[in-house]
Amino acid sequence: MRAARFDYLEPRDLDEALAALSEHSPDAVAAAGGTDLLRDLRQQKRRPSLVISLARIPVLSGVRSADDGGLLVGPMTTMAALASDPLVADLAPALAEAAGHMGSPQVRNRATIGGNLCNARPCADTAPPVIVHGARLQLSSKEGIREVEAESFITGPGATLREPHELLTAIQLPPSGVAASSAFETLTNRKAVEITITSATAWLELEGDLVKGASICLGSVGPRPMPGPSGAAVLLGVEPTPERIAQAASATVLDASPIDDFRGSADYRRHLVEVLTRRALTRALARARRRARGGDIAEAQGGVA
Amino acid sequence: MKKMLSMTVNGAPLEVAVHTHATLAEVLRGELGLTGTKVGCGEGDCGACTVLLDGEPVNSCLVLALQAAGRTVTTIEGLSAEGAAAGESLHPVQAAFVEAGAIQCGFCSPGMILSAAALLRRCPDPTEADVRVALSGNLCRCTGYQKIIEATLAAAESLATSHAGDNSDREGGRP
Repeated sequence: MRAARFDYLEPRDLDEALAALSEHSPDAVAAAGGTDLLRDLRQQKRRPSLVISLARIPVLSGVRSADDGGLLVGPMTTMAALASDPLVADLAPALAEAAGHMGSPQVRNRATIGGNLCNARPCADTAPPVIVHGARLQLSSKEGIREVEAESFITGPGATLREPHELLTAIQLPPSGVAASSAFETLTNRKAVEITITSATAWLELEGDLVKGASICLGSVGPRPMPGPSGAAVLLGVEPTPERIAQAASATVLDASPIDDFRGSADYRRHLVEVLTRRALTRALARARRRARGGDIAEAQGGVA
Repeated sequence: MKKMLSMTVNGAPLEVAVHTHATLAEVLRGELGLTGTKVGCGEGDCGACTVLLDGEPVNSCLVLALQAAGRTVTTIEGLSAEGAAAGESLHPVQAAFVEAGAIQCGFCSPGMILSAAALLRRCPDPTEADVRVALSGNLCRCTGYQKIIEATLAAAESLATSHAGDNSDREGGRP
């Protein structure tokens, strides 16, 4: 099958893109990397009258430090760019891992984080890292800008809070504490060009020996990225011993609501939730401790920098 | 609906009128006659349609032709031409594939070779693990992966040797 005919627009700035989207929505579709969209167009799952490519709007691409010490990720940043970005590796390693695992090298050179979030598949690998880091998403339209929590953005399979005339224009990650870090764990049948059977992403912040903050999010075990508050609650305020981490991982199973499909049964996915959450928490903890030690060293050298 | 597309293909700037809904793979094969680019799945799973867009491997079945405007595209024909320009009949990566018997039916070969060539440009001395990751988006239905990996590693060696030769030439005072 070939794609139905459509007109094609390649705006050079955001205002032009928003105006076109506003004028033509809901019959217009914004194209990010196109790795999902082109397949949908060819299968005629989508039949827009206009495709608006976001590829030539420079402000939408790239990663930079925000004024508050957080990270500003442009929605058109490719998976390959995210996976190799030193700022992302330092401040949001789970996001770098998720981006580096997705698809294949060819897909990672085209697919973008904005496309991954807005397509809102339950298996979207970049959504859980963005959620555990407490990101806020900026949605822009001709009328103005609004912000939503990443955690509430995806509402169901393929459904988000984004209105057809809006564009996701920034992913804002808050500053990372000196003793905080994250990790992403996934299982797929093959190592590449596969869809996640189950993923678990963990973020931990330490204060001394105790857990000050914890966040868990699961992929492919519910209609949307599934937060894991039960597991996080086990860890808050306590020392994260291997036993406690195992308890938290086991409690997280309650937060998943997987289904049987050809990639795996619901029972298998529940098993994976426990295993992958334990691994993600363990690695996030090791990273947070390493960052804390690095912070201590910087403090001991106080003021030199 | 057709629009004019300007891009550089295998080193030559060109203009071609394309349908707005045409993929880069369709234009390369159908309009430009560059049938070395194969189309397998048409969904970005098999990698047979891999070309280099500004030097990076992409699935040309998942790129609208118009998205290549102003950019450079390298297909397997362009790689051969690079070899010809250097006085050989094939690019060193192609030669290594032939030498290692890394080609069976040949349908995956153009994509495999472009993925391998892109890796070696970015990372001239790859480990076997680097090669496996770089080729992970290219499927071979003849199950010839081992020889393909060996060929890529051999190509890295032969490129390193020829570059070392270039250096010694320069040290020898040639212009």
